[in-house]
Amino acid sequence: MKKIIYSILAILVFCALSIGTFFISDHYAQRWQSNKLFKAKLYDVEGKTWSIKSLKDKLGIIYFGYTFCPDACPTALNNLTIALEKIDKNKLQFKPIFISVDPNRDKPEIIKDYLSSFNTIILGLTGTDRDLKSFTFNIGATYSLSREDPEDEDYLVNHTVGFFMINSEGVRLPIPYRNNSEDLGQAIVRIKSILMSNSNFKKFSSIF
Amino acid sequence: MIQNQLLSINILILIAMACVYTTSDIDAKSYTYKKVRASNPWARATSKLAKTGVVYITSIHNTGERAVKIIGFSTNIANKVQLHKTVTENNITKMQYIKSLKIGPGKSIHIKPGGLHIMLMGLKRPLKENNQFPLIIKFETLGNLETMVNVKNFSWRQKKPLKHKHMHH
Repeated sequence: MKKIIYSILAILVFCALSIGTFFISDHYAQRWQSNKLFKAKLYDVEGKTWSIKSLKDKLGIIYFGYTFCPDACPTALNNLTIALEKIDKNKLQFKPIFISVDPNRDKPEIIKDYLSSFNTIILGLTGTDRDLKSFTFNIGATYSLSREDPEDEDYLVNHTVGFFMINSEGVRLPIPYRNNSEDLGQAIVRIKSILMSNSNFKKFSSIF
Repeated sequence: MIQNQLLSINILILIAMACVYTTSDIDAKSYTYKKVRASNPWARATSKLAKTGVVYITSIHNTGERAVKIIGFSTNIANKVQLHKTVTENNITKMQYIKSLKIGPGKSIHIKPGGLHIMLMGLKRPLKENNQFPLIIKFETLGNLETMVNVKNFSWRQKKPLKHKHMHH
C-alpha cells in the first residue's frame, strides 16, 4: 500500500517539477530574448538610437522589409495604414514601425523618402547587420540576402512576412499575415487583447 | 423648334458619351496585338529616391487558339525589367524570377499586388502620379505588344497621401 502511495506521490512531484521547469525555462527564454531586444541598437531616419523602451505606452507594430521591395512591402504597409486608420483613428494605441533589413542600400534618407509615400507616419528604423540579426532573431523573425553575384546591386532580400506586436517591456506576439486591411485590423485587435490580458506574465517577470 | 431641341439633346448625348469614353480611357485601357490583349497596365507612383518600381496588368488575355508565351518586357524608364512572383514559404516572403510564362488558348493571366508583378530595377526617374511610360511585352514568335503604363497613386483607395512637410528645423 505504502509503495503505491509513494509512487503516486513521486509521479505527482515529477509532474509538478516538469511543469514548473517548463514554465520557468520558457519564462527565462523570453527574458533572455527580451534582454537581447533591449540591447540591439537600432536608429531612426534622423540617426537617433531607438529601443523598445521608446514605445512607452504604445504598442509597436513592426514590419521587417526593405525599400527596394516593390510588391510585398508596400502592399503590407499599405494594408497596415488602412487598418490602423480604422481601429486607431487618434493614433494613441499603436505605433507602426518599418525596420529595414537592408542597411547596405537603405540609408536613413532613402527610408525617410520611402515612408513619405504612405498615408500615415510610419517610424523607419535600421541598424548594423549585427544588431538587426540579433533583433530579428530574438523577436522571432529572419532575413537573408538573395545575391548570387556580390557585385550585383539589384539583389533581393528574403524576409519574414507579417507583423509583430510588441510593448515597451519586450512582451511580444506575432500577428499572422493577412493580405487585406480588414482582416489585418481584426487580427491586430485580437492580438492586442491577448497581449494586454497577459498580465500574469508581467507580474511573473517582475519577480526576477 | 423641335429640331432645335433634338439637336441639343443630341449634343448632350455626345458630350455624355465623350465623358464616358475619356474616363474609361484613363481608368482601364486595353492594348491589342494579334491575338493578345493587355488590359489596364498601371504602376505605383514611387517616392523621389526610389530605385525600383512595379507594374501591374489587370489581365493579359489570349484570344487565339494557340498558347502564347511571354518571354520578357522592355521599357526605357528602367535599366532592368523582370517578371517576379511573390512567394511565401514557412512565413518567409521571397521574390521568384519568372523567365517565361505561357498563356493557354482563351486563357488570361493577372499581374496584381501580392502575386505576379513586373519589377522595374534601376529606375531612371521616379514614377509620378498621372504620368505614362511605355512598356513592351515580348511574346515568343508572336512579337511585341506595345502598351502605355498609367502611374497611379500609391494607395489603391485613390486617396491622396497626407503631406508632412518640414520646412524648417
